[in-house]
Amino acid sequence: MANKYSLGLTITRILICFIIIKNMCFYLPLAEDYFGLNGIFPYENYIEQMNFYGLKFLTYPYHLPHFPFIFILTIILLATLYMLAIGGRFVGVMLYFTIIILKIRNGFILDGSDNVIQVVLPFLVLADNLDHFRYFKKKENMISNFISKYSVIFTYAIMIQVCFVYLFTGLAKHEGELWRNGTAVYYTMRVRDFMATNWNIPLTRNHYFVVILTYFTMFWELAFPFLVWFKKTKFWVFTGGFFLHVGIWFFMRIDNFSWVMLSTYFVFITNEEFLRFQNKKLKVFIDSWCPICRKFGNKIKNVDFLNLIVLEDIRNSKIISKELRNKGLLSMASIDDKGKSSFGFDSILRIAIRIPVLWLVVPILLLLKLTKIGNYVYEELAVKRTIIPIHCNEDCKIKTF
Amino acid sequence: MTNMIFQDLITNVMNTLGRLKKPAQVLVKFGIIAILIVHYGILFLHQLNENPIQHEYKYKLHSYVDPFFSQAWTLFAPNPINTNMSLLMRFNYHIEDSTSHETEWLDITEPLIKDRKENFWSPAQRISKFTQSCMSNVNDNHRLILEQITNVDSLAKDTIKAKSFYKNALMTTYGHKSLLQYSKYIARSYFSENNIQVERVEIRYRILNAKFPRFSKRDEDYYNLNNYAFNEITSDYYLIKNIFYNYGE
Repeated sequence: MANKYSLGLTITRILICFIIIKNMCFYLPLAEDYFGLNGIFPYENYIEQMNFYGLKFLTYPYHLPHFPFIFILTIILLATLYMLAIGGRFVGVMLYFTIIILKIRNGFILDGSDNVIQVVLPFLVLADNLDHFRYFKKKENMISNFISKYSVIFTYAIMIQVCFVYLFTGLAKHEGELWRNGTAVYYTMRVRDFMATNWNIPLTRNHYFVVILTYFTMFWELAFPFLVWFKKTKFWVFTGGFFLHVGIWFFMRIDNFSWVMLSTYFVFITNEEFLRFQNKKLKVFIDSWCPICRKFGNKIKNVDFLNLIVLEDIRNSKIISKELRNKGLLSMASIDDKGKSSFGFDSILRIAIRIPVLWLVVPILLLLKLTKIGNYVYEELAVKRTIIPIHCNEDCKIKTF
Repeated sequence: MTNMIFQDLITNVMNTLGRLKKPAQVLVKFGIIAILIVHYGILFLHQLNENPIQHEYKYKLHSYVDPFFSQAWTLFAPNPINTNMSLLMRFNYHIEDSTSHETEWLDITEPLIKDRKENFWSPAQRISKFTQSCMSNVNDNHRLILEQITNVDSLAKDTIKAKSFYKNALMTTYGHKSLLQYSKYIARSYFSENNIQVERVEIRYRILNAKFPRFSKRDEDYYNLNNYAFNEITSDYYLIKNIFYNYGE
C-alpha cells in the first residue's frame, strides 16, 4: 500500500539532503581545522566521548592526514545518492551514521538544524520517501516491502518529532522572563552576532513590533503541535511558520534551522492535498495589445514554479463573457478554480499568493489592499498603459499553459 | 516422491503463513507503535523540567537519548542571549634568539561577524557558533565555580586556595579546552601571516561581555559604548604545543 504522504516525504528528503550537501561543502575547506588531529575541538575529548558513549566501534581515524576531508566527501556522496534514491534505505542508514560520527567529533560547531536532521533522518529512512524523484526505477525486495507496510507509522513519528521541537522550545521560552514580558525579540535582534540588517535597530525601537513578535513566536510555537493535525488549521500554522523562519533568516541570518524546519512541513501534507493544490489554478487574462501587460505576463510565467497560473489573451478568449471582457480590458481579470472572478489589484494579490518567491511581499500587498492604496496605484497605471491596437507578431506572444 | 512430499510441505507452510499473515501484520504494527510510544515517552520525560520521575531515571534517560536522539531545543530559551560576547587573544612568544615578545590583543569575534554580515551564506557562521558555544561554556562555568567558592568556607576564606581551585576547575571544562585548541588555529594563521618563526608560544584569552542598553533604554545610541555595561574574564597564560600539524605523533 502506497504511503499517502509519499510526495511530501520525497520533498523533505530532497531538501534535507540538499542542506546536508551545502553544509558539507562549507566544511570542506576547513575540514582539518574543524575535525582533524589539531582541530578546534580537542581530539582527546573526542576519544573520551566515544568511550563514554560506548561507541568505540564508531571511532573514525580523524587523526590521520586528509581523513577528515575524505570523510566529508563521503557524506556529500552519500547525501547525493540518497537525494536521488540510489542505494535506497541502505544509503540512508549509512548517511545517518556518518552524520552521527561527524557530530560527535565537534558538536560545538553544530546548530539546531543538525540536531533536527539527526533525529528526523532515521524515521525518514524507514518511511517510504523513495517513491518519487528516483534516478533508477524502484526494485522490489523483501525487506523494503516489509518496512513499506509500516511506512505511515514512521511518517507520524517524524511529525511527532517536529511537534516535539516546537512544543519544547515554546515551553522553554515560556519559562524565560524576557519572553513572558514581551521583550525577547528586542534582545535577539540586537545581539551583535545575530544583527544581520541595519533595520534591526530602528525596528526594535518600536515597542509594538517587539511585543507582538515576541508573543507571536512563543504562542505560535506552543500552538503548532496542536493545530497542525487539523486540515482547517494546518496551512495557517504553516503560513505562520514560513514567515517566522524566513524572518529569522533575514533579520538574524540563522539559515539552516529555518530551512530544515520548513522542509519538514511537507511531511504533513498528503498526496491528495498536493494534487488539490495543483487544481487551484488561476486563469489570468492578459491584454495582448498592451506591451507592459505582456511583459508582466511573461515575467509571472517565468517564476510560476508551481505551475498554478494560466495565461490567456483576453482579446481572443472564448471562455470569457462579454461583460467580464469589457471589465477585464480596463483592469486585469482573473478567474480561480471555483469560477470567482477578480480584477486589477485583487488579481495581482491572487497571483502573488500562488507564486512562492512572491510570498515575502504578500503582507505588503495585503496592506496595500486594505488601505486601498494598491487599487489606486493600479488604476493609475492601468489607465495610463500603452495600447497598440495592431495584430501581434510572434514577439508579443505570451506564454500560455 | 520426495519432491512431492516437499512441495506439499511448502504449500502447507505457505497456506498456514498466509492465514497468519494478517494477524502477524497487525501484531508487528502494534509492536512498532508500542516501541514508538516508549521512545517518545522517554524523550518527553527527558525534555520536561526536572521532576521526581526524571530525577529517578536521570542516567538511564541520558544514556538512551544521547548521542543518537539528543534533543536540545533551547535556542534563545529560556532567555535569549542579551550581551555581546567578544573573544580576544594575546600571544606571548619566543623566537630563535630566545627573546620574548607579546602581541596586542587580537579581536577574534569582529572579523567573523563582518564576514557573516557581508555574506548570506558563510563558513564563518560555524566558527562563530563554535566560539559562541565556547564562550558561553566558560561564562557558565566561571559563574558556577565562583558560586562554589562562595559556598565553601575553606575556599571563601583562603584566596590562594580559591585561585588554585578556580584555575583547576576551569581547566577541565570543554569551553576552556576548546578555546586553547582554537588558539592554535589563530596562532598558526597569525605567525604565518607575519612570517614569524616561533620556538615557544603562550596564549591568554579574554571574554568580554558587553551588555547593550536594555529594552527600557532602547532609544539610546546602540553604537555608543558609553551606554554599555562591561565585564570580562581574562585567563592566565597557557603554553600551547603543536601549533603546526604534526601527524603520526
